[in-house]
This record gives sequence, structure tokens and C-alpha cells, in this order.
Amino acid sequence: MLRSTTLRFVFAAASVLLVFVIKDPLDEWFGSGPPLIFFVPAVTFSAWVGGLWPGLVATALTTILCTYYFFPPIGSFELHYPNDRLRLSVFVLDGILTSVLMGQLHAARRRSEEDRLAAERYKDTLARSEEQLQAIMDNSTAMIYLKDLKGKILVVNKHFESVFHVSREAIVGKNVGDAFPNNIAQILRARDRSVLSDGKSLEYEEVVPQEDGEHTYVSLRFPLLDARGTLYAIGGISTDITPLKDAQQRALQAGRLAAIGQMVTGLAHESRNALQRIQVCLELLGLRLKDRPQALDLVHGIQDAQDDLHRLFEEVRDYAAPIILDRRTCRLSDLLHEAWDRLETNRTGRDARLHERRSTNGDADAHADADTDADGSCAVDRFRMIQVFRNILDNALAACRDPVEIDVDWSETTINGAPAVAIAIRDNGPGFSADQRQKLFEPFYTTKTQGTGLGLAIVKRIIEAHDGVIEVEPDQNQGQGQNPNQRRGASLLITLPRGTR
Amino acid sequence: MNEGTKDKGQRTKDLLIAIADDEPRMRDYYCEILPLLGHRVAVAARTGQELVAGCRGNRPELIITDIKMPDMDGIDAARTISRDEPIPVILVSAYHDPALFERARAEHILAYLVKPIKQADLEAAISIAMQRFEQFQALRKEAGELRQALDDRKVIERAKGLLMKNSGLDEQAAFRRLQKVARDHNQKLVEVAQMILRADEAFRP
Repeated sequence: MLRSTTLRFVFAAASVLLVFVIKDPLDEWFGSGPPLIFFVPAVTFSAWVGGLWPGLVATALTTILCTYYFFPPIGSFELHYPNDRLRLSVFVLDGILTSVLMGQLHAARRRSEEDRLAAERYKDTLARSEEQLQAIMDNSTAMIYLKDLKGKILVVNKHFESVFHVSREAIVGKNVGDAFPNNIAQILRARDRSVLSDGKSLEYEEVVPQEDGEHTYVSLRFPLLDARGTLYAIGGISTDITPLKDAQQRALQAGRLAAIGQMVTGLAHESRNALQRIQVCLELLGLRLKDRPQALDLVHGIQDAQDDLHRLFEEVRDYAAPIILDRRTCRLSDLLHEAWDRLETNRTGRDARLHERRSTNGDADAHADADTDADGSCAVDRFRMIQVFRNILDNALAACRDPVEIDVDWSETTINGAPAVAIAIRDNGPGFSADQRQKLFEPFYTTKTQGTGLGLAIVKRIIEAHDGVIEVEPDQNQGQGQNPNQRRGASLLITLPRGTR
Repeated sequence: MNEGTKDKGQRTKDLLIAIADDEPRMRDYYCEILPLLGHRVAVAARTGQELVAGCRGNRPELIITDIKMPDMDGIDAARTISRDEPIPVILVSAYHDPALFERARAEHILAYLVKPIKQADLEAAISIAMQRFEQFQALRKEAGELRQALDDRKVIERAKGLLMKNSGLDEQAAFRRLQKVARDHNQKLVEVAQMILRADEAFRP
């Protein structure tokens, strides 16, 4: 098969001319016969190679050449014998027929070639579209899967694999019930019935237990229909919205706090005046009842209640009111000592000591390096940070039995890439229970008989206002077996960015 | 604290105090509690202007005032009263507001108490405020004396220079003569120096 049209015609002409040239030697070999016979292969061959038109050209050329050179009278286009006319006519007819048939053969072959190319292109397109689909699925941060009506898993994406720690080879083709534990299988089967009966997609929120706790997902279940509209599979897309939920929760909390803050600030003035009026009346009443001890006892009772109310009120205001920081560069160690000094009345009659250690890179090497600036300068709100230390130390004093040993460990660290100070405050009291660990920083959570439960909540707010972090230090007892009596107490870890200098 | 007050004599006892609060009960309270603490209430004002007017008649030694009051607030009243002569001021307010602290800092405010206050708060605040004010006054006096001494020194130096020029004395001799004249006439050195300068003015052609 020749591609170029010109070449096809040249080939036709050349084959005819070749036969014309070698006809004489052939005549000698075969003996002189009817001249057209030798040209039949040339015509057929031309049509085979070139199709309809080259075949016809070969036929025409042969007719002209033979009429002129081989049929008497030789040298002219006339035909002397009717016999020759018949031969020529049959030849021409045969040539046309061969050309037409060959032409059709050509067309058929061309068509089949085109079909083959189209099929190949289609296959490429299909493969690419599948790749694209897989890429979309695998890059999606949602879990995506398809299963047939019997619950056999057909398709899962990468995120699905990573969430459930399975490989797609291991579970595709398996039944959901066989591939997963009961609780997960139930989640994967959820709402199937509804999708099956309605034939409609369904969106809902669900909670999925994962190793790092429960995650909330927005899930979409949808039916897959074949060309005839019959449902043959169910698909699921589940997007993890846990961070979003958490942020929403925090925003809600912050909003609530802001509202309370505004309210409390608004209430502050009038409440203080009312408290002052009570105070005035109480003190004057106390003077009037000076010589009636029983009545005076009641006055003291009211005074205590009034003091509690006042303290609670100020603490709520302190907790809820917007925190406006007045940041100055201070030595945190000085603030710690100031807080400790202010607790002097709480410490009178008690055996309590505060120890400080400076560590480099968290190596608890006592008095390691005098040059380290771990306890040093930090741009903080002085008053607020004293409050932080005071609340924590006050809790330690309340929780521990004498002799109280409070260790403060200073070290340098980073927070979000910025230089920071890490402060670990540990006491030798009973430590935190699991319940306490969880609720420590929640407002109004308290284990003290006298306390509002706002102390550590305020601490957390202040630390977070400084872009810092406060957390319960992971249990020190575990893996520290050499001296079980040594440390059992509560331990809080504060990380505070040094701030702009 | 008690020892401190004893050491300082009567400074934080038996003070003449002016109080102002728009709340009648607060005024009653001050009038009853302050005498118990050993002080006298000279003025019990309802508004800022009443306080200013009251202080004009009998000069108190301490002012205890609310901030928010009708017609004039406590900080403005305190400023008006302190204009002629400084007087210690304690503010007692239900407001806990940084903007107010800032204003208070600019005036002669020596204590800022947030309501509700108790007798003990008042006692401590008065004691500290009076001590601070005492220190403040002492510093003022010292500064005034230093300024005076500096002025005197200038006059004496000029008189000395004049003596050196007119009598051909050296510096030490000129100063000794000045001292001698002052001693002989029982006058201050600076007075003698002033006389010499004045006499020089009179003799000048």
C-alpha cells in the first residue's frame, strides 16, 4: 500500500511500461501469444497497490499501447480485426472490474484502519480519564469508596486506606463485613437501606472512632445506576470536618465569652456600688451591735458571704473581660518570685519551698549553665504573668501537704518557629487524676472546697493571649522507675514566646 | 504600720479630711468610720463642686472622693483644689478602668481604691497616702532649697568678684572678708553679698 497518490499513479504507469519493455523477451520465451495477456498482471497489480484510479490508468495505458503497437495495423490506433476489438473490450472490461473491486477492497481496509486507530485513541482516552479519576480520588482529603449491592468493596481511595490502615489490594473484592470490625462496618453500611429504597443521594454527619479519638465526618451516600437505570452500586464520600468543628466550637466559646465579658463589664459598676452599700451597712451594723456578740456573729457571717460574692464576681470579670496586654520586657523569674512573695500570707505557718533550675535543651542538668537566658527576658504583661504564677503556686500550696517542694524548670525552646521559654512547674502533691487532667482548664471546675474554679481557666486565657501554650506535662512517673518516691506531683508546662524585642 | 505612724508623730492621725460621694450611705459611712480611725471629717460633699466650695472654707489635709459625681467629677475637683497648694487625694470608685487610672496618674492622686472598700482598706490607704505625700512634700522642699542655694551662690560669687577687683584681694581673702563682715554684723553671707552689689551700683559713675 502506497500512501502518496502520485506515487500510486507512477507505480501503475511504471508497471505497464515495464511489461511493455520486457514483452519481446517474454514472447521469445513463451512464444508469441495475444499481447494483452502479459498486461493483465500489471493492471491487477496496479489496482492492488493503488486502488481504483491507478488500476483504470493502467488499463487505459495498456489499451493505448497495445492498440498502437501490437494490433494491426501497427503504428495506428485503428483495429483491423474484429477479433482484436473483442479481445480489447474484454480486457478493458476486466481492467475496470478489477480496479473497482480493488478500490472497494482499499476502502474497506482504510475503514478498518480508521476504526482500529479510533479504538486505540478511545483506549488512551479511557485510560487517561481513569487516571484522572484516580488522581482526583487519591488526592482528595475525603474518604471515597464504592461497593456493590451485596456489600463487596469495588473502589477505595488513598485517604480511605490511610484512615483505616488497609491497602486497597487487601480489601477490594471483599465484603465490608469481612474486611472491617463490626463498628466500622456498621458505619460503612449506614443509610444503605435508605439510598437503596429511594435511589437518591443522602448527606449527613457521622462520628467515626479513630485511634486519635473521634472524628466528625460529613458523609454523602449516593446510588450508581447503569445505562438502563438499574441501581448496581452505592458510593460514599466522607469528609473529615473535625478541625472545622473544633474551630467552630472554639469560635462559639470565644463568642460566648465575649458576650459574658461585655455583660460582666456592664454589670461591674452597678454591682460594685451595690456591694459597697452592703459593705457600708454591714460595717455600721457591726458598730451598732458591738456589745451583742451573737448578733455580731451573724454580721460576720454576712461579711464572709459578701467577701465570697465579691471575690467570685471579680474572678468572673477577670476571666470573661477582654484581656488587653501591656507587654513589656521582663525577667520571668522575677515575676515568679513576686508571685511567690505575694502568697506570703498563704504560706505563713507552712513549710513550703520554691526551687529553680535552668536547663539547656531540656536536659534537666541542675544549675547547668549560668549563662542561659531561659528564665530571662520575655515581652509579657507583667501584672498578668504574676497572676499566672500566683494562681498556679496557690493551687500547689492548696494541694500539697507540708513540706511543699515546688520545682520550676526553665529552658529555652521554640514555639511556631519563634524563640520561646518553656517553664515546667512541678509540685510534690498528689498530682492530677485522669478527670482533672481533662478538665483542669475548664472554667468553674474545682477540687478545692473554697474556690471558684476559675484560677487555671484564667491562667490559660492569659497564656493564650500571649500566644503561648499551657498543658499538663505528660506523666513523669512512667519510665522513671529508679526512684518511685521522688516525684509524684502535679506538673504544668508553659511555653511562652519571647515576643518582640 | 503602727510604728511608722508613731515615728512620724501625728502625721497620719487626727487629719482634717474632706470627703465626697453622691451616695448618702457612703457619706454616712465616712462620717462614722473616719472618726473611729482618729480623723475629723471637715467636709462631706455630694458633688464635685460642693467639694471644691467646701475646701475653700476650711483647708483639709486629705481628700477622699468618688470619681463619678453630678456636675464635676472627683478628679477634676481634686485638680481644682490642688491648684494653689498640693493636697493628697484618695480616689474611691466603682470603675476599674485604665483610662481613669491614666487621668488619676496625671494628678496628685496618691491612691485609687476600687469599691467595695472596707475600713481596713481605708486605713491602709490613708496611712500610705499620707506618707507618700510627706515624702513628696519633703522632696519639693528640698528642691526649693537647692534652687535657693544655687541662686545665693551666684550672688556671693559676683560680690566676691567685685571685692577682688576693687580691693586687689585674691579669691580666698575676698571670701574670708565677706564671711567676716557677715559675722560682725550678724547677717547672712548672701545678704552681705547683696549689699555689696547694691553699693557698687550706687557708686557707679
